[in-house]
Amino acid sequence: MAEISFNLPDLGEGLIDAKVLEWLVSVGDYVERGAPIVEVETTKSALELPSPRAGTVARLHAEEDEDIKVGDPLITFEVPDDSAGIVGTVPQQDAEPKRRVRVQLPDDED
Amino acid sequence: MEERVAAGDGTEIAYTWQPGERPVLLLHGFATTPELTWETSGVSRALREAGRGVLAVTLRGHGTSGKPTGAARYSARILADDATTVLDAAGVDRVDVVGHSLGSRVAWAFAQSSADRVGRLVLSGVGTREVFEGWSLGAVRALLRDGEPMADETATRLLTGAMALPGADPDALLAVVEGMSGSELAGRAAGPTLVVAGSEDALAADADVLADAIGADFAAVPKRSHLNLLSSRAFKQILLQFLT
Repeated sequence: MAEISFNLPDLGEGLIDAKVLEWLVSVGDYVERGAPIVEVETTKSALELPSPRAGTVARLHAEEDEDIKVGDPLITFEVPDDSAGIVGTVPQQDAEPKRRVRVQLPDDED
Repeated sequence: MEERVAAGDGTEIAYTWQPGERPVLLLHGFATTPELTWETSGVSRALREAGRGVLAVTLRGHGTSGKPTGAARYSARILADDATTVLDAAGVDRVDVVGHSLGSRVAWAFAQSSADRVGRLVLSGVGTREVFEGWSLGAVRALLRDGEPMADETATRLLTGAMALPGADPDALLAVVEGMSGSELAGRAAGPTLVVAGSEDALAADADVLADAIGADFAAVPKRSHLNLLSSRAFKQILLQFLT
């Protein structure tokens, strides 16, 4: 098995950090791509973040009520060796900064 | 996909209709959008996953809906009539209704005027006090037009956030505040009704008193505020349970 980590994605609107309100998954859970994994709050709103891929949760990198910065590690998945190199892109924002908060999934699928 | 329909006074009302069983009408709060209130918070997703249809209205004066100016074009009754227009346009006869904050006042007005079209009603983030009533219109105008902070910090934060949203129109927002100011949430619930509020929600601090007054059930979500109630797992559980 291999591990893939994901960082807190860019939430748009120039936001640089977010507070983890509630984890919606636990270590050991199998998570589908797109399923909500964590609820975070910015100065603008509170939102669910979707899982960027399917996998088994290996580690959560922040405690509830902890502030984390965009780009800091958020979650690590355990995935089969043969799929580790295929996906694993951090969800990208559009090149043009958008004002509304929307977290996008990568287009690829495993 | 977003659809549009003209209300009786010609104002275009934007809405999205995601078909499903036993549709739920969603009415967002002041100075926000259905996207920010229901989509990113995961409320729509939770409803869809439960098989429910989701009909989300963009209140006039907000987002991509029409923005007439003048307070006379905004009242709980007028905004509730917009909801009726949207139901008719979407071909939906009967709904459960969920409102948040100002949207709860609209939801109440809708349930009172269209009791035959409403099943269950959820009012979140409201108490007995209508928030705009405490705001000076002059101060609201100065903030919206010139960015001058108000003495009331909550008001300043709400309105500053409102102006940062796409499509924000200072004159329309001012008209919303003036038109909705003092709108009463009074009378008795016509059907099963739930008032729900975060325990840290200063704008809904006496939500339990409101629930008693209108004959509704009450639920509190610990540690949650006006702005992060809807995204919480607890809120979605309470919502789905009540709407089942």
